[in-house]
Amino acid sequence: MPEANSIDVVVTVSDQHVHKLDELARHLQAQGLQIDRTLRELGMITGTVASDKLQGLARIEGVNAVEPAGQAGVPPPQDDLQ
Amino acid sequence: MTTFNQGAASGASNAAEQTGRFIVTFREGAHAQALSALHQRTGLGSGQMMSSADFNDGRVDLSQLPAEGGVVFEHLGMALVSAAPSAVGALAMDAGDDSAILAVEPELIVHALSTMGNLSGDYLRGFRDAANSLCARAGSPGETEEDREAEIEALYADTAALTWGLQASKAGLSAYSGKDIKLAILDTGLDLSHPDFVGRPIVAQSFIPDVDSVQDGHGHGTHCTGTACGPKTPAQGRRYGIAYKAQLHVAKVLSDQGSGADGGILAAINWAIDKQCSIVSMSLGANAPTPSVFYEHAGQRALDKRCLIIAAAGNNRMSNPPYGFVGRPANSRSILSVGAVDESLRIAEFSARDTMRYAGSAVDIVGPGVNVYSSWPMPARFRALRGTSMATPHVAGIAALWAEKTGDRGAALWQRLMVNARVLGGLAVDVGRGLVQAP
Repeated sequence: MPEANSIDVVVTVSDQHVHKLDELARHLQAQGLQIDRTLRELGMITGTVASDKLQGLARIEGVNAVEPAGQAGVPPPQDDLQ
Repeated sequence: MTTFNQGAASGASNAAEQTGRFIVTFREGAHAQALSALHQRTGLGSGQMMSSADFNDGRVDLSQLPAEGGVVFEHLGMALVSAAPSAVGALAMDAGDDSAILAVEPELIVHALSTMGNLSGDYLRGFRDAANSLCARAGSPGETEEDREAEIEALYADTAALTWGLQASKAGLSAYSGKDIKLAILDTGLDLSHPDFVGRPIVAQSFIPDVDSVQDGHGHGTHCTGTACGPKTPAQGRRYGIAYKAQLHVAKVLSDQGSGADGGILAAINWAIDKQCSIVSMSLGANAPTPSVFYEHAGQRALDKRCLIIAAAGNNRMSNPPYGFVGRPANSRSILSVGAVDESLRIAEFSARDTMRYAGSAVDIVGPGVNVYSSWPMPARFRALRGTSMATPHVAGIAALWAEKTGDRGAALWQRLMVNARVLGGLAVDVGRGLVQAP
């Protein structure tokens, strides 16, 4: 189970590093990212990290951005505006 | 392709003035190789090349450049160089799409338009005509925006044969079916027991934790799938589906309660690209006005892999300032954003408006999004709904028809949809380029 102060994140890997995704994944893991998925076609890695380790992830070479993952949705089925 | 035109325009009366320097554009990700090619061909090594990072805040002072040498603009992946013409020529011969250097082009002197003295008559006449046309469309001085919006451009209605949306978009008349085009719907899934989809080959995957099936317990996904890919001749009722021979890919990224995580949505986009889908339709979003880096990159990397992502602009329109905004992920510049119009082709009262606060957050195109009849989970079978969610699969299905007809994929397919849209009288911040049209 993730810790109480952990957050879901999406790590976007820079264009220059997308071919080294596995290597980068290891670095991210070492810095505290609990990896959920490695998305090869998109050059992204999703996972969970303790909020105090967020900055550490962003400083890894090859990381373009670390952003919190949110939710998307649609209204309940009884609404006629979708 | 080699882009090099050394002095070709000299002598012509409208020749652009050249500085004698050249702009070298590097291929994305090939920065080091491009610098090495530059060194090899021109002899300019690190001793003569400065970096934009050498200057305070990246403000490059061109007066500091050596007579033989140049500067690398690190953020742009470009260099500005002075070198012997023969050396530049040799570099230009190597340039092209498969080289570390994409292009070598002469640096030109540009002027603010007001200071240009010799504009051609054709240019000025074209400018005048365009301005007159804009003036005419802006209406007379006393006319309000509401007056103009009240003008009805058309009035469509469902018939026994076709929904109004398939008439207005011309999808119902098209000779194309989306045959062999792979199209993915990322939504709440599909009612697999629906008579209009029983027997249809479907590639399916759930991205909801602990849910294996894409069975739709909500209805939204079944409705959107129906519009994009429903059958040409349903056993009951009128035709409502567009790309009836597309290879349907269904990804369940929203739960039966209608929500899902960005991580699952990204995983589904990744899956669709891996399956070589040409089109991804996403009638979903978050009410967030700011774009995210990850959706921007997901859209761009999908386009680079010949896949076009199409998303609903959102239903947050307000009649007063700040008017609402295009939500995430449709507000990404690399994702085609779809608004909704009604049966008279007026902007729908709920359809999100481009606030122009963030680059790329525009409404790109609109589709039929009011009183849209399509499939709904059994036993209801059919239902009429409204929303930009309903407009989006119209655009996705029609994209499949264009993809089949032209072979266009990715950014070329995006452009094909845009240039063929039917221009509407509404404001561009509402309707973008206009109403999507089928081939």
